[in-house]
Amino acid sequence: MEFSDHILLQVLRDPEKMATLSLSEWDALKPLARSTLVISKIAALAHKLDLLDLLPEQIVPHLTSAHVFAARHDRAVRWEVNRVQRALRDVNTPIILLKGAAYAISNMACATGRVYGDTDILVLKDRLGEVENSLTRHGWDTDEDNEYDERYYRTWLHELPPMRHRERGTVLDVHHNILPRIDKLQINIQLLFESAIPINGTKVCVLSPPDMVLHSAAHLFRIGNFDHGLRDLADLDELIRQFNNLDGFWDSVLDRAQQLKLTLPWYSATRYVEYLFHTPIPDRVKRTVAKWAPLWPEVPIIDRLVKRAVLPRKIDDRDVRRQMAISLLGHWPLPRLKVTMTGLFWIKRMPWFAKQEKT
Amino acid sequence: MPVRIGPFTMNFKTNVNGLAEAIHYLYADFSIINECDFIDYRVSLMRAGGLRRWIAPYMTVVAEGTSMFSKFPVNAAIPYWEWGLNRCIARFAQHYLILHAAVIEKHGNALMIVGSSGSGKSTLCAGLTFNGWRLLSDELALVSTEDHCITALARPITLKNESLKIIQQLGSHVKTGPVSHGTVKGTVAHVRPPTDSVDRVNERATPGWFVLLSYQPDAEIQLEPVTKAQAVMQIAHNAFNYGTLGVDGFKSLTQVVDTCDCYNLTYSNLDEAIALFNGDQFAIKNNVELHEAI
Repeated sequence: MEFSDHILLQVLRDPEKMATLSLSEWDALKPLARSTLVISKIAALAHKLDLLDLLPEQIVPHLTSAHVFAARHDRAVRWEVNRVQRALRDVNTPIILLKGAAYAISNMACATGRVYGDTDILVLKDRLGEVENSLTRHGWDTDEDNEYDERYYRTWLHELPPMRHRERGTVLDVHHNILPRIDKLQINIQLLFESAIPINGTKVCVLSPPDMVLHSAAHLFRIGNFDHGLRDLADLDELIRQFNNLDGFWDSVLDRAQQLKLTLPWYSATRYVEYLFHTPIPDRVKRTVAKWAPLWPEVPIIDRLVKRAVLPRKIDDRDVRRQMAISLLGHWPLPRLKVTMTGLFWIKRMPWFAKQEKT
Repeated sequence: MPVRIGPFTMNFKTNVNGLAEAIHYLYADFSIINECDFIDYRVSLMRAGGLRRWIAPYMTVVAEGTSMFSKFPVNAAIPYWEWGLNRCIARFAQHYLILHAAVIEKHGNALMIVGSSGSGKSTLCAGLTFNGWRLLSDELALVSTEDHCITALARPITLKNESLKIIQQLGSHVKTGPVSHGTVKGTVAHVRPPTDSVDRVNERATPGWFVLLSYQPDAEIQLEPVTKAQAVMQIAHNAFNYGTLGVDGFKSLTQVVDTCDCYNLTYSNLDEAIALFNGDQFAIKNNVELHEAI
């Protein structure tokens, strides 16, 4: 059987198929959907298409539970954005919401039934100090207790160390760029600020459609965590399908990918969403994107790793080969040589060598 | 192997020596299902393999492909197994309002004992379970969001430190499993649920009383009524998914508390507490409308 014929992928592509699944097919599907975080998406689709009455009664409580859980996430992310907006009302910077928070606030189709992790925002780099001070005054604390980790974040990454809210326990990631400084791809972040779209005239913004899909692709394929790779690729699929109706969307993405030097992640993104979700991509776009492919051995290797990483093969136990693929994808592409020659880079990766120096 | 635990079919799996035997002992009265098309929750407790077998060994509880507890020491397999099951249900059964409470039942009415860790909740629950009450759960009150009845699990009762001896002194009909020393919560052991409670696991109970419990060494036993508003605040604070359910959580909880008598209880002596709950005040609750609602 082709990998893309997997029952879970079939259901995500064609939710009506849910009504035809047998109880034992659901039994196999449910834990996979749960561990890849798409069960609440399936629950939302079942509700929306009014399929619940047609499903075996044993699966219904699981879908209800996932639906309740996703509704909670939706409320929580909206409240979090509201609180961040309030905390930063005196700081003169646009607040660009990234990923999940942006999908929720702009009511994208992919926000339906989505669960959220940390809230991600992007602010101007020269306002970073003010932003951090304001957030600290309004209840967020830097989570990192390790001095080296903190220095590593501030020197080489594209974000502050994660900030946790003292009362809510929620985590906020404050970015000043979308790719870390250790990455070989470096983009002109000013371009994203220039075309960001304000929400209801406030300074809370979301990225423009081409930037939104490019960021989603760059995030997953440069610094992403494939633990939830399937969920993130499903987001991309739904974003593309939704923006497909906009005039000139595809040309602007192609232009923008070249301008931001994000051609490589866009190649990967289109390759895998089309493979997994049969996303409609025009042929002329595919011809252009094909030229952006990496050198030969990389494509088949990444193909194998992505297939292993997006879906677990075992449901009772840890899928060791999947964990290995996730870990390899997490370390690929390799960081810039210049970075690997600093002590901080290695202390972050092998903290046990630095223990005795810790204050 | 699939086991039926209250409303859930669960599949248990482990590669840890002694855990399977302990589970067999503690869950002896539960029925194993041989042929089964659908498993609600797959739970496994596995010891890390490879080099980790010898160097700094650890174990992990995974439910439904999601880690419940990871990297805990090898001497605490049984407590972590039970805590892992609690966490699995609290995380994946959001179709119930799940309160952090011990639940026991008499004449169809549920007594829900709410209290933070160390309040003597499980001790009192075990004491009453072996003195005329039926065990529903020592940790999770599964409240239906539709008719507000409580679904039973009848899983083993977790006892810590001194309370273990107190409960073992109740008599030889109290069967305790292996004892784990030096866990994060001290010495921990589990009591096998009485056969009658397991046999009647499918009988739901109507909410009857809430008792907000605190244990104070050498204190005189003291039972005081509390207002419904105070009770709601404290129970919500102790609930697993009150916030997750949002408006439904508020509606269900306030409606349940409305039908119950609510008390604060301070106690230090288990026998006194057992006598209190087997006295007139906690005899049959005559709430007519509720019985009709069932």
